[in-house]
Amino acid sequence: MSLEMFISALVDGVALGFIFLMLSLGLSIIFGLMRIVNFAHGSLFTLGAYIGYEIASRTNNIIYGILVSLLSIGVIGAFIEKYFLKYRKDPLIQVIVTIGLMIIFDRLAWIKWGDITYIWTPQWLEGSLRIGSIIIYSYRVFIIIVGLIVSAGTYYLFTKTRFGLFVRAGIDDREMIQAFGSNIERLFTITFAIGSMLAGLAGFLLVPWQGVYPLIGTNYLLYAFAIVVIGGLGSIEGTIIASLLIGIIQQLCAYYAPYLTEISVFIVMFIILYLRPQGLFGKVIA
Amino acid sequence: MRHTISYILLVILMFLPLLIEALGITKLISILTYAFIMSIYALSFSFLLGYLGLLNFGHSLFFGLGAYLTTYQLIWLGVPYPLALLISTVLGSLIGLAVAFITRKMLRGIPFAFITLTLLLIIYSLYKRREFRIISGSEQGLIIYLPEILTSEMIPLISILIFVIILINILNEMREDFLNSSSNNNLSSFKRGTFLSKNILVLCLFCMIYISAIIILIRYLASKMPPYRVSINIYMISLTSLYLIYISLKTLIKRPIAVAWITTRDNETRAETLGYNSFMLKAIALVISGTIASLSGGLYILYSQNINPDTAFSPLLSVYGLVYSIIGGVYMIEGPIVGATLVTILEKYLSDFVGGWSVVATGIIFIAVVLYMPKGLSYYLWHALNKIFSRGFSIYGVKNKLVRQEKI
Repeated sequence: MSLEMFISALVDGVALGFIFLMLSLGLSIIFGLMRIVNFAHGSLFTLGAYIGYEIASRTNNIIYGILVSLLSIGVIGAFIEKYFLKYRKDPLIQVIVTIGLMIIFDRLAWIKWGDITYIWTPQWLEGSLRIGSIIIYSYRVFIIIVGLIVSAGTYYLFTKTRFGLFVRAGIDDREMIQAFGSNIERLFTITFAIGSMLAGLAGFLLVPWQGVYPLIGTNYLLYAFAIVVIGGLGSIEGTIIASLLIGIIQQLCAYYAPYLTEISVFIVMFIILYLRPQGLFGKVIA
Repeated sequence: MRHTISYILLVILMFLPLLIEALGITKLISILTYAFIMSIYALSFSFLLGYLGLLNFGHSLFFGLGAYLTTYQLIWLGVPYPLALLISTVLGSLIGLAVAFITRKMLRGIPFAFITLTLLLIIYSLYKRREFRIISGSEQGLIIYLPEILTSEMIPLISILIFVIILINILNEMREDFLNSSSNNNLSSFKRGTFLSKNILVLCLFCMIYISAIIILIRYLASKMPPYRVSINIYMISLTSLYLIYISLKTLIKRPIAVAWITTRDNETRAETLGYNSFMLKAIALVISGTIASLSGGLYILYSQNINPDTAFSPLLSVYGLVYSIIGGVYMIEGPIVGATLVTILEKYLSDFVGGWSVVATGIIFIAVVLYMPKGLSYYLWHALNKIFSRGFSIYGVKNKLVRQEKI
């Protein structure tokens, strides 16, 4: 009950917020561009965590884990988009297909890895930093650094480049950019792959902190839904703010009022949905 | 013909407990019990999805609260089970009303799905806390001691209810046909009249078979040990309630209110312009759905004899409501029953041989149905049956012509 505890709770909250950000950014962009609520996102998170864990614990190098989980989940995401979602125009059908994929992936992960929680931490990140009397785990700092780099890169990609211009234009008006001659099908695939990559990376980054178990994807998907709804579906700025907010609220609750940890997020989501159904930064969806 | 098939199926299902020992399929009875309970749940889910276009991701809230409320009455208050079931369905309807009032600003599409999911998650995470293990039973759950009444051998008498309803249905049809044939006196109505007079023989035969099935079943139960009796009794209770729910929903969707629901689903603005109160219509539907789902929850505790937050409030249960409805098909009222029965039998039966792969198989079937048979299995099943019997039946009666079939 002191300033030190508050600061370490805050650091944990920001670290968790960056993981939430990587998870929900993909969800938000995919919804904005393709109008799909992607239920398979949580399963991609789980798969990324398992694949990264397998690679990193074999090679004992966290960089390989990050790279492999990024690439493999990106490929799986592109595959899903190309073969399951591409030629079905009805959004409800696409949502239902992602629910089926979620069931399949979760169960496959359970068959392969079972109910055990796997944790692996690289040795150079195991300790903690001491600044005066404040204790900060160094892995949290690592997450914050990686999260900053990744989210800055994603933000740059979606706001400053030509590709991002097309994506944002597509979020605003899908038919118009088709009329201007851009290949929207390829845009969909690339966006879906990038979103999946972010989910896989977030999953792997959580392994040294909370471990990985088959249902982790579903649990975090619920948080990601909360974040996306609070920030506004399809809004990049809203997602960034909402995920940091939710991360900090959740960790403050975990430190000061543990019985509120899960429920706090959903109560915030309920209040926001009730007052502003379109979310903080969202537009009204017809 | 649709009626005939359902009557034949019912008689087969009634006789099934007698065949269990002869065929050595003891497991099937518990699987089918579970399938019936899940069919009731799926009916309530697909009723909302098909007639109102409301995708309810918090649907297991109704199920779980129904189960827990029944449990509390049984454990703490000592209410006899039938009364407890009745009270918890009434409470379930109130919960449906409460949900309708809470979500009144966003009773459509994705906002509704999200806010009901939020409501479910709030209750779920409350129940999962260890601090509330007195009311939730935490991980090991609350244990329900089976009511004494379930060991009685007279329970199959409950299925006389089904019998009475079938009789009323048939007599009603006869009366309508009689009125039709007397009002316009032409050749086709004359043909119909003869068709019915032939049917009276079939009817008598059906009565005899049904009553003898009940009598044989009761005598058979009297010669069995109590645990065996209990499982067959639960089977009969869930079969009866499934049939009652099915018939009452089927009568409901022939009423004018169903047309109003469909109008609201297809074009809410136009429905309001025409003078319908769309909130009222949706609230009524939510109340009905909540009642049915909490009934299935109340039956579930008999089947499992144990209730914990993960089985009652799991968001996966809501997803499974969607799976059942989509695999079976939403717009035919039989669809969710077909879907739930098929998926349950597949998952529970296959899980003995292949373990977790049975769920993967469900997922694959689910995706295949969504992509290649968007109208659901029941639609194609019905067409196949029609072809076999080669009679020109339409899927919906004349009164239901307004039901659109092309979109899910």
